[in-house]
Amino acid sequence: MAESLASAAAQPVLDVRHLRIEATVLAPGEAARNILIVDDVSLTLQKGRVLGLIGESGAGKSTIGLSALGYGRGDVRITAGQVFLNGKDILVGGPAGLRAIRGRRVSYVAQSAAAAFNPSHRLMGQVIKSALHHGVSNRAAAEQRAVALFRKLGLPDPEHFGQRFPHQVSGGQLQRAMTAMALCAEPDLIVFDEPTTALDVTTQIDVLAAIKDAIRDTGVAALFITHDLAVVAQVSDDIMVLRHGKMVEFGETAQIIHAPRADYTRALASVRSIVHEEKKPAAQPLLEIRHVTASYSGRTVMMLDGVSA
Amino acid sequence: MDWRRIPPSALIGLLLTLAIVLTAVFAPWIAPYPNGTVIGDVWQPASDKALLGTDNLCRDLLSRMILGARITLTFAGAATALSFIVGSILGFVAAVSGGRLDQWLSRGVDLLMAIPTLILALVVLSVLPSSVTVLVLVLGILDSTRVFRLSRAVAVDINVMDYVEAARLRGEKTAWIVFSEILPNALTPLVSELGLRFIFAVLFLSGLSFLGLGVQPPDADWGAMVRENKEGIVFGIPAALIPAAAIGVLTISVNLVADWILNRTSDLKGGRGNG
Repeated sequence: MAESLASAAAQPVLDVRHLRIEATVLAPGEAARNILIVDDVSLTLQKGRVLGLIGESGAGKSTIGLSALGYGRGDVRITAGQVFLNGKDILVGGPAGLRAIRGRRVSYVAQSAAAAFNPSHRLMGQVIKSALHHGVSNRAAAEQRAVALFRKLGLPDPEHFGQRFPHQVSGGQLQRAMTAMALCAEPDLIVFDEPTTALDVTTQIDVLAAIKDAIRDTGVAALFITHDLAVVAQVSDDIMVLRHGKMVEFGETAQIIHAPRADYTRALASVRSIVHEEKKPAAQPLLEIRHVTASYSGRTVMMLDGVSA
Repeated sequence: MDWRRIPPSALIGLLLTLAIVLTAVFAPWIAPYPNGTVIGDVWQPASDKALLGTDNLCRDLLSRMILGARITLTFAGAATALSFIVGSILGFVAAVSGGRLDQWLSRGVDLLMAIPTLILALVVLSVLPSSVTVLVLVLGILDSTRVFRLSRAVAVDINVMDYVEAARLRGEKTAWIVFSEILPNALTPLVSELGLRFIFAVLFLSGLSFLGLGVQPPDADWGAMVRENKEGIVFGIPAALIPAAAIGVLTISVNLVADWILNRTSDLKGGRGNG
């Protein structure tokens, strides 16, 4: 208790006050109209803490996450409120001020790492880019740090992993590489935007564990955006539940999971326990695979060897 | 690089292109006769004195071909390079910036393209003095409108990719986004266009020379040489076919090389190539 009081007295890494975000919708045949995406949301985040933002699709989670970088997708813009990063309002600095904090103070981990890596460049160059761009360290030091992060995140062959192109590694590995990219410039805050949604369940668990360790070891603050309560329960210290751009409930993770106060949170928590009735498998197989062998052309590494299913 | 991994078609293309380039570079030393030397009669057949025969003004055709290679390659190469540098950079910037800048650039290009290229070139070249620089600038800028449209269209697609957003969220400037995020991914369509544009530049140059506004006599590019000797075809004299064949060989070899580069760049991205 004493510890939490002491940390509460310290300056928060991220302090969002009365955030209001709007977008202009241009529907064909209609006049342009504004829609409210985020309505009066406030949150604070201390160093070393992880805040989970949870809500259904369209609740404004990602929009709030991107506002920590002063970024709006498309026509989305922040119309009221303040975003303080280490005590400084980032929304008053203009484009140059935003460029200076993006990637340096706040970094972003996208939902689809496969799409968020440039297919034409090797991974290493992309992972160390923000560290070099913001002058955090020289190339050799940044590469060393990247290799250390690859190792920490459990990537295979960390020494040479960065020499590969994005298409040469798996989705789960790319998501970890993206986390390494976010951590490489030693930011104060990382925004994880559904980092495990595009992965299968077993890979999800691995990647989550790796992300959790990396957050703990580096002491970075994190905003963790997801629609999956089970995922957010594993990583975050606090949870904020959002619906239609408004805050529904805010509390510590254990309280939200076990003793939700709002009806909506209760509904979210109970969705996971619904049992699906499985359909009977069809008598005829839809897809049959017989003795498939695959390898990269001209190379000796066998990818598949006589697989049948 | 391992030479044995280059496919035969690309190797042929590379060798032919290299041979033509070397010929162009060393033209004055290789050519048996200096430019404009009269050595015999009109349209003589091949002999020891003139290996490819003589042209319509009694000059050695081989020497004219060799000297013409230099003119053709310089003009077409410089004009193509100019058109790609100007067109692609403006196209990418228009796509990335959007808004008013995009509108101004795109409508300006539309305006230029609305006027038939040859007529526009005629007007400009008859007003301006006929020099190498002017000719290259006119060819390059007229061709850059095509490159602009292609680059902009490709870049608009790439600009909405997640990795461009990721670059913006890393605090990158527009210049970096254009050169590091968009250019490498737009290379495939641009390289394939490059091979074609280069040949169009050769043909456009010969078109201008035909009208007397291109390369000025006694110099001649290959296209102009086809025109000079075309009357001979009626009499069964093949002098016009030799520069025409040279243009054909250049076209094919440049495109073989372009195809190979195309395969290699898409191979890097795990794509369709097998080069």
